[in-house]
Amino acid sequence: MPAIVVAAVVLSLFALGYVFYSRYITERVYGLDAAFVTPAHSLQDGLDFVPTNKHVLFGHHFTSVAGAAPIVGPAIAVFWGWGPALAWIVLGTIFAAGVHDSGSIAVSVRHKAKNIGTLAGEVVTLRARTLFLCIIFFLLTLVNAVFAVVIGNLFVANPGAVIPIFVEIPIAIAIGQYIYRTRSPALIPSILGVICLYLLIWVGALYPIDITPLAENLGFDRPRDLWVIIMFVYTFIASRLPVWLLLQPRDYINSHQLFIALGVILLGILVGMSTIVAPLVNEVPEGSPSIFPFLFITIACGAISGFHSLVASGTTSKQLDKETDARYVGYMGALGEGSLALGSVLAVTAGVVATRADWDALYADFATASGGATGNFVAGVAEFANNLGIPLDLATIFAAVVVISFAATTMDTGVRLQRYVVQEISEIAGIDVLRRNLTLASLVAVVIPLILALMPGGGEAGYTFGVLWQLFGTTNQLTAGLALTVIALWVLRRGRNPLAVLVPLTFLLVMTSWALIINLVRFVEQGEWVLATLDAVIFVLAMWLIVEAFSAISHARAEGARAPADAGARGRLGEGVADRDGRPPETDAEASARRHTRGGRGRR
Amino acid sequence: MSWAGHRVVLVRGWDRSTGGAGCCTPADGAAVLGPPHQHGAGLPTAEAQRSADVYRALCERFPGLDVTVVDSGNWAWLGPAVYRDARRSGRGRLPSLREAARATTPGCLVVDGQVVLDGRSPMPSDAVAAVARVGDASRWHGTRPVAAASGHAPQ
Repeated sequence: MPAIVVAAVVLSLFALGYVFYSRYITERVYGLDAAFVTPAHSLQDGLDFVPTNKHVLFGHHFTSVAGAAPIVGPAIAVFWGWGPALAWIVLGTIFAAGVHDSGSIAVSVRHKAKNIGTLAGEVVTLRARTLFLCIIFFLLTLVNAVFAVVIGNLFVANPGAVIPIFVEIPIAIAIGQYIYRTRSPALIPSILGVICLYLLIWVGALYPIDITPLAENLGFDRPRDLWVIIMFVYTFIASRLPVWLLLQPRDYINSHQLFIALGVILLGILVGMSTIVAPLVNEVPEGSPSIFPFLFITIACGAISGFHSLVASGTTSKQLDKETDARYVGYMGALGEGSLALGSVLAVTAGVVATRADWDALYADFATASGGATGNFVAGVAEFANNLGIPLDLATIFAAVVVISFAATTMDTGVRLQRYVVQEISEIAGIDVLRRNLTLASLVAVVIPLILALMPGGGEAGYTFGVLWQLFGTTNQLTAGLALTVIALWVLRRGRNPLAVLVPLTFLLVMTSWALIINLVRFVEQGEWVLATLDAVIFVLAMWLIVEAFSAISHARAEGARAPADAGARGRLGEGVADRDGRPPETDAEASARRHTRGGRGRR
Repeated sequence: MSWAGHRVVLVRGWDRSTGGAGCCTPADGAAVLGPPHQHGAGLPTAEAQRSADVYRALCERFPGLDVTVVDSGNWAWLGPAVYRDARRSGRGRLPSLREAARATTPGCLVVDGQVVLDGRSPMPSDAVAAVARVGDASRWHGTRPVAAASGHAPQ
């Protein structure tokens, strides 16, 4: 099957999803109102709360949600065949991710742009706030662990990428300093930074850095482990630096790389007319994880990702000019993420090898498939770049540099966030020393995922990457489940039909719980006690979420049965919080009326 | 005087970006923990606060004026938008491109495709004066943009 045909079909389905389903969701289910005064207007401060053009906001939103995770999951999941992987990406994106992302923005906008964790505490129960923090703690731990392993694997497989990646750090700092100190336009220096980075690929190819001998001398069984330690030392230091010094200029360089990588994939497929050699449905070896439920937790980002609710409710909702813009910004952002996942599937099924036999060797079993997934993506993108005339060895390093850059940025911000979460949990638990000491909190944020990434066990290769990835996918889906619960309650209490939210919510909770149980039994049988404990804790969180969701939804339905269907139904969801001046809250209808009487957009 | 049809772009400071380019990773602690005053993460710097003051001053002084706040990293929107505005204001292709590139300066102020203040985030009074100056020079009125009203690009 020509890859370009598959790409065209998937992108057409995404377009149909946007035109029809997103309209149904935002108009009929969420009842978004263009005249509603959004927090960007009512709390306008020019700092965080700023009414922003929807195209501008989409740029901010999309670059915050797109990166390495929608690449890795699909690259593993084609183990079951490209058909099921793409089917979940398409269905998940249209019927779950779009609903989740636009809904997270909408529900936050109706609650003074509060973030999803705070809303969980207000809308579901106070306990749900603690649940949220626990889920986020495990999510960030697993994010940092899996991306450290991804980077370690890529450095070992592509020693030519070491120089470009590590020299990128001083380049980014120099660019940041230059722009910050001289107040110069950022575009040209950042483009020069990208050019320098790509010139360094050539240097990296000439002088590859293989640390295998050093790792062996230091007594490491796997050279990857040394890279993992180096990456955590780096992130510990990087996360303590001011954002503008390293993270910001590297983000700028990465934003160029995102467009370059997407362009290379699309053009490479078009020019090379690559054909998918992988099977539509793969006959996996006996004993492999089954499609149900594991496909649905292997692809989280790219189909639905709970992390998006953090971006949607944390920053995007504060800048939404009109409530109806949630459709464009949120749903389109989900489609963008789905398109990245599509690119990943095509790279590992059409780009990576030329024959079915070669592909079968790469995806011989789940451990091989998951361990080599990122490498396969790199090889696939390299092949697409090669179609455009770039020598294969340089193209391979280029693709590795792109993935490592994104993964390193993710680790940097992940550790930053984790130390805040550690401090917050410490406060709840009454551990003062951890709450007050930033260095100690950062150490906890680094050491726990480091241990997880280095853990022995699970055979000679250690814990297979796929297992860690599945646990990450599970916690990500639980975060999405929590956000969907908040959205469903909001929809229900407004007297609207929440079915479109409840279906993906139920599906996710069933799949994650099912996978957790299967894995728990397996870990216990194999004596993998660390993983069994981790799995059990996440399972308890999942059960907790199910109980909270079921209880809150039942309660809301009972309330709805007692009272006549009231489209406004305000005051029960935290929407009725007095504003900054202490004025009593206004209802949706009042706010809407005020906007209409003012005319215009209601800017204060 | 009506400000409809005109656009002022206020570019965020280097330390106050709202976008990222990792994956699902809002660098802002507020995304997870709530407002900065509750946990101390992501508190605005003095410069960010001044940029906010500029925004509020512009909205107050010029009601109805479209003030767009953008990250300097959002070049995919910033470049074409400023270029388009500059062309509409009667500038040539090359000067418009130059303005589009200049508009990626953190903390700068762009009026109808013309960078009127760059460098550190301006004082609110300077920003208001700069916008008013461009408005006066090009005699903003009705809904016509600068060059259409004045016949030449503002200097």
